[in-house]
Amino acid sequence: MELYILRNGEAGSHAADISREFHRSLSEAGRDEVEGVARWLAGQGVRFDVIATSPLPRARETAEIVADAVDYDSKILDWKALEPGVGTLSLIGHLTEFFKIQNVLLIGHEPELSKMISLLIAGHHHCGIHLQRAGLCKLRRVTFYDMPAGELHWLLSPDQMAVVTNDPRRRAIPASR
Amino acid sequence: MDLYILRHGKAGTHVADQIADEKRPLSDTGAQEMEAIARWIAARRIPFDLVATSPMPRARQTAEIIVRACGIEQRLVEWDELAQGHDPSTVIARLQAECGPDACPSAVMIMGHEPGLSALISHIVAGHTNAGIVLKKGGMARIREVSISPAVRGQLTWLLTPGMMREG
Repeated sequence: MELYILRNGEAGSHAADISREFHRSLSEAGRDEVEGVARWLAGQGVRFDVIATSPLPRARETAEIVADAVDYDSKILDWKALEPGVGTLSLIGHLTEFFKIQNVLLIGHEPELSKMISLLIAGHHHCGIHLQRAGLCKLRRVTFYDMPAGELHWLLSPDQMAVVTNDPRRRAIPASR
Repeated sequence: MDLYILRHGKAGTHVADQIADEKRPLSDTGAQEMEAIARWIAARRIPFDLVATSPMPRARQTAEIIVRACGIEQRLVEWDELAQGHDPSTVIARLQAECGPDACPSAVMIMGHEPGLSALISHIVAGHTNAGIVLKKGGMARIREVSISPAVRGQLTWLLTPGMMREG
């Protein structure tokens, strides 16, 4: 399995109320960033057999933007296991059922996603992995036989996937994000 | 410290004789690819304090292309610890030695070989040398917030293939 992992895009300021916090949508800037990532993925010729997302709006919206850009016409799966606060093992357990699928994209939240990446590449949860909002990683040779394992192949921030345009605001290249 | 780790570019075919193999230069394609990557890196205006390279020609040449593009030729140094076959712990010791009691360089780039570089990334990020990390020829990793003591730890924030560094 080639496993692509995308963190939800930016979703505006935190809300004090926990239920509203949970249901935040992508901000306009977040939507722009995710659209850049989606175009970049389409430009790389990446295609997905399965896209699964956390059901929270900011993740679900991220998934829909990407699915549209890469011409994914199957159903986007909602996985409770991708919600914040659900343990990595439950997520890996879910993913294991898809072991025969070639190209899988998961959309979810931090710190759960980087814990899963850590577990797959290093066998423990504590790797230093910094996955930005709308950041993407690709793991190849992901297997669940014996121990879950995989090789980290890409780790990218959204700026690196921003397609160069004539819009000067988009051409700015941040030095140190 | 932000640590940038770059693998040398493509270097023609491997030869059986070990001495000759160590001396292989970059191939024409490898050098051209590195020029494009060097432009990409230069456009980021990363304030490198130090660029350290393995003394082997294919790494040294890669490093020279990078420092020329960034206009920092005087910051290039050779570290024997980055030559092929050294354990990641020797590179770590060298990085620790570069840090004084008060200050560390804030951005360092190192250039070397596989499998040493991915073992080094793994050591810093995962605490052991066996994590699954793929660093292609001409590929680059960035580890941010690298702390040197007591243990070396940092957060992997970029892992890029050479094809991702050809625009902008």
